[in-house]
Amino acid sequence: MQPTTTPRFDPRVSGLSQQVKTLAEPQLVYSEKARDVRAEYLDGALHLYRYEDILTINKHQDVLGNGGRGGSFGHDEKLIPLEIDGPEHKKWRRLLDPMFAPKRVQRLEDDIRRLAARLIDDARAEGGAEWYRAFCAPLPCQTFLGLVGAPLADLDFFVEFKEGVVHPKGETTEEIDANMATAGAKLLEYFNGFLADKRARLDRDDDVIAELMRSEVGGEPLTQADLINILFLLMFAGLDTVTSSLSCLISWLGRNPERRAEILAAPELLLPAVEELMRYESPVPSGMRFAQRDIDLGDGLLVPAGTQINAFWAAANVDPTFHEDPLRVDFHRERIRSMTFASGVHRCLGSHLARLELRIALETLLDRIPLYEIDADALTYNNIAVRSVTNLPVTIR
Amino acid sequence: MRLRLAKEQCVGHALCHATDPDLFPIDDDGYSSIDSVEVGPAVAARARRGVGACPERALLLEE
Repeated sequence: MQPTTTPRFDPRVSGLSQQVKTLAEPQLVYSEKARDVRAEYLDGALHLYRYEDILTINKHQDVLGNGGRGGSFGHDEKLIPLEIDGPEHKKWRRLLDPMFAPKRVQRLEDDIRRLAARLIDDARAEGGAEWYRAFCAPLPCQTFLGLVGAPLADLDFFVEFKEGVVHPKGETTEEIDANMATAGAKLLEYFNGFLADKRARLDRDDDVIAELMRSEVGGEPLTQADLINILFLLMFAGLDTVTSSLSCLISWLGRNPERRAEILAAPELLLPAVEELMRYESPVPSGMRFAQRDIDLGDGLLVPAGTQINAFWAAANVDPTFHEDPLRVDFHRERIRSMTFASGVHRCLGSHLARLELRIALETLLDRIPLYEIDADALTYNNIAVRSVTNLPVTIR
Repeated sequence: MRLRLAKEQCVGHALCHATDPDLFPIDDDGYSSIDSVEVGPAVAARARRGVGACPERALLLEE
């Protein structure tokens, strides 16, 4: 890669995300960008908005993924496999893919269903509740603790440190990173203790971490550092994204009761509805990619070697040059192709688990409280890093 | 017509499988295990749906 003098782009504090920060419907902006702009440099990063361009970049052999300029997330190491590339990345995906494959995550279905039912019943008992905290946050957290085989008693403690790492406070990259590092140190201490406990009862457990402890990569057992790294990845990539997605979907169905009625009348629509709403809501709006060589995207769009690219999955998902009538949410769409879970070799490892959690959460919710109401004026959207509805008051009559 | 997988393009979204698990089998890693199969006119519509669901365009239907 050519040496570059451009400062490192941080999508948490710059670029298009800042322009749509708290919009309830950023889709309108994203769709116009895809239609009229195609690509533009903002704060030193080339923003890509069209499906075909992003698909080409994601597949390109001369493009590095999110970790192309080093690790992020306040953790010194690059996260496996999100922030590594090439043969090393392939090696780790080969180990991890089967653990997150559709058939494998299916085993968690009954646990997730019980969990969802319990959380909903607890929230219902309270009458009105704020559902980001009452439902959207605890469901993936408890699923995560089950997945890695951690005791449920650790939930409160875990949620507190997780929040500090995933949502560090601060207005600048330096402030954010410093706050993240403080919370990260506490979490590291927790993980080290957790792994020591797990090693002691390894032969009895069959969770993902126990399986990784018994696995080898390149003929060597995984190190403590590898295991910590993967725990951080599962937490960063798997908790908040599902929490946020749930908050977006519950809000959308709350704001559109007549569309919710379509699903209630024909439950087989739930699966396509989840897929279509995830296209429209695109909870992870963008990812970073890094061109190592010049890349010609056609029709005069050249990406020079060394370019940092902010690829907007959320814009590709409502790109009118690719999708028919992209701003219409249609549960009967003949074809739903989306970039919701990115594409290419860095396709979201947890996509099947995420889909499972979302489907079961909505199925359980619509079964138990089909006519929930939300206070649409109170909803607070945040479109930085991961789109979420952080204030989601639900009323049950 | 013939249903074909460009194996190097498959990254395991498994969305074809979600449209039709019988016509679009996947392996234990979650990747499509189709190589190349002849499909009759009776399943053409199902084949088109599965092919259309692939975000990578890894599946091809050759008339």
